[in-house]
Amino acid sequence: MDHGSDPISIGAAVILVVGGAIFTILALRSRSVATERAAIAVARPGHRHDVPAGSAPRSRQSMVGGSPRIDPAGGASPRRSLVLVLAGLSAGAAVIHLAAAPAHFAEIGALAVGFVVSAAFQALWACWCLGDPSRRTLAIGIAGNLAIVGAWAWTRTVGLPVGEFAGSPEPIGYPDAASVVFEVLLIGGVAARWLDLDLRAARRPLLATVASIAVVPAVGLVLVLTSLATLAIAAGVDHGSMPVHMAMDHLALP
Amino acid sequence: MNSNSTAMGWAGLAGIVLIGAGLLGFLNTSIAGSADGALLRVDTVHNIVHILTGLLALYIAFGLRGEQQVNGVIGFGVLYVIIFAAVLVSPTLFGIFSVAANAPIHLIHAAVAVVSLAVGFMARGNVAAAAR
Repeated sequence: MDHGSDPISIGAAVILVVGGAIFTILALRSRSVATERAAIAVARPGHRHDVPAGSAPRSRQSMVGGSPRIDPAGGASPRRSLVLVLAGLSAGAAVIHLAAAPAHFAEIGALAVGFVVSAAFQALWACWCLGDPSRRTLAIGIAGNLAIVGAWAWTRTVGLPVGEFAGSPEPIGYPDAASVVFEVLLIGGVAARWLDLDLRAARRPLLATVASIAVVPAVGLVLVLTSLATLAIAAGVDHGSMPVHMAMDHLALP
Repeated sequence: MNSNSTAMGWAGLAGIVLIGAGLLGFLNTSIAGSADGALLRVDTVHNIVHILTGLLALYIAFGLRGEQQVNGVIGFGVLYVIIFAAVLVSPTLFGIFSVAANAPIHLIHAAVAVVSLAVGFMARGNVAAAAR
């Protein structure tokens, strides 16, 4: 250990390990019970596996936009999973742009309205996306985010015509890098949705399962990266002038 | 205890412990904080990551139901596999943390990852068995 003793870390680790062991044992026990029940139910005369024509078992449907989506793996369909991740990416980029706007008004004046417009567009698009997006919504998402990425690339290669960094490329900082990564991933995801790659994935149970599981780590990473980027901006280090942890020290956090 | 309550219980426990560890780090006392004399030296970024992932775990525990909850627990395990691997490769998370992660931190990350995956996959098996 680095500092002699870390009782809280050790305590938390012990709770997680002991608690984890208990829950693992409970899960093993309940698994065997469920398997036995399923075997008894299958063996019971009159047990029906089939369902009425035109419907699917309830546990293998997910309701999206009022219509059932058949999912061979159960749970959320790959299409719904992709939509949730895309909405998360767009919302994360919107938060970063909104957080960056005030400082840029001081730097480049009215040009900074682009940050507010970008944030509003991405927030609205996230809402549209959650409501089962049409092809027009997808096209707007690709075009809008390509424009935002293009503007970012211009400021990092050519430089803005006015402001503190006029005529010279701005350095790449952590917040803008996070935002651009979100936007590039979003464009790729929207393209996948446009090409119906998610529907192809839905036909493969393994891919459908992976897509359903991937939502939490994807959204979790977006949540963490967005929060760190916003805090870095709040500390005034949106152009990579210092590491993130030093930026945190500049904040009035305890 | 059925499969869903097991998954919910584990996600709830992980969420409470992670949020508790994150909040304790902010108190900046001699027990936990960024001071040199603190028994547990954690920085702000690390605390924030713990709190955010704890909130995510609580959402999985109390905001999701059925198969979505089970998939959420597995996904949470995948998230912590990524975090564990990243922090193991770079204890300062490529310069983001000011204080390098120590052995108990690695143990917490690994425990959350392994148990979440184990509980999630077993609960998923239960759901599939119940659906048959």
